[in-house]
Amino acid sequence: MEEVALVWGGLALLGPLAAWLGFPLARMTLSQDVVVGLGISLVPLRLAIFGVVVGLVALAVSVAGPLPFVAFVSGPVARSLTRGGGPALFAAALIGAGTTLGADLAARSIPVVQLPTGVFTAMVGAPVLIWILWGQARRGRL
Amino acid sequence: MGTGAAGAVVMVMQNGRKGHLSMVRYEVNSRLRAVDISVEYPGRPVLDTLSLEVPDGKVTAIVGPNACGKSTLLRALARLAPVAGGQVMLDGQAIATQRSRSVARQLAILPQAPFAPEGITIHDLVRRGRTPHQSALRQWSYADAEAVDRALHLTGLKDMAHHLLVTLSGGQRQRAWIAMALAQETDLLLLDEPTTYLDLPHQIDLLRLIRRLNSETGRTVVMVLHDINLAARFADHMVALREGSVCYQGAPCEIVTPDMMRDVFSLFCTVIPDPVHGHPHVIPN
Repeated sequence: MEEVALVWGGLALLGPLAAWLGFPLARMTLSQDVVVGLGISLVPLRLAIFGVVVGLVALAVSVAGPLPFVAFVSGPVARSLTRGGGPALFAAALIGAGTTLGADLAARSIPVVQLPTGVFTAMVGAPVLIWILWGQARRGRL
Repeated sequence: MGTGAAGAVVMVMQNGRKGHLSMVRYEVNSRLRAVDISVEYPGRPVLDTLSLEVPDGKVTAIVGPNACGKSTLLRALARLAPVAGGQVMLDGQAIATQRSRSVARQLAILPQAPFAPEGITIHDLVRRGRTPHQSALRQWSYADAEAVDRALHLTGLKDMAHHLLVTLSGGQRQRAWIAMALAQETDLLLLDEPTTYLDLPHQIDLLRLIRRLNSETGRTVVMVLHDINLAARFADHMVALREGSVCYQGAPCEIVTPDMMRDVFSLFCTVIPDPVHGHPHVIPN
């Protein structure tokens, strides 16, 4: 119960911050000079994003334990599904949560041994990540 | 072309007893100026105590040989390159001390070879020019829609606004980037080699567009150009750099001479008036 309160409390605090940062973050996909020219101050922005990301990840890991590959995969998958140029915060959160729930379910449904969920996120996540990297390399963007 | 009413002449009396004009100086109105700026790259000075006044409402071309610091000067004017000494002044105030966002409402810069994410459309790109007028809470307004519409219209991209940027030709892509800078709705527009990688017809096309922006919307334009003949034809004011200092500046018809070409580019040339337009035309010997 305490853990649930911790997660909701942390989300209530950091969620709006992440949403707030989504606006300048969406513009950071342009080249750096263009971003600065549009009046965005990069150094404070990077610090803020770093802080929020560390906070959110620490929160998730402290409750759920390490779940490798979820973060690597949900962002790119969400972006390719939403087809926008920028970050897809909400979609990425949904896909991350969905992936984790699915992996947890799969881990629990194996009858004999109780495998940690992290093993399953790695089993799904690693191939997806390799596939994304492969696709980018083939298009010469790596 | 374009030597209209801009640049009001101000007579400054200094040290004058009443009725005595001891000194008359002609000043150009200038919102953007560099005052004794020096810029250094690690181990190498690029600009050396350079001063420059950008004349309001005119098209200024910065020319000079490779590595003379012309791009660096433009970037310093747009607060992209930090200055080691001196100040860039925008509206009488040091640009470095102003909020980047409020600078971005006065001055737009299009850097060399900008890039955008792959899936972006012209419309999406141009929308991003509205960033300094928006905030996380107010991300889109009627004024934004109007500005984007105007920018697309001026650049002739209105009918293809939903095309992907990657599918465009070089000339169209450059127009899209200029449209983004226009959507910023600034009085000052700085362009770093906007004609690079374009063939001659597209270069002319783009420079005509820039002239039209200047005459129709009164924007002050500063651009770095490689081609001295195109610069002489399309600019009102020319600034020639050599080794980080301003060597010559003035109207192209006054400063583009064989002496200037020798001093700035170390090139021996004949300069003739262009038989069609009358602008100076450089023919290397």
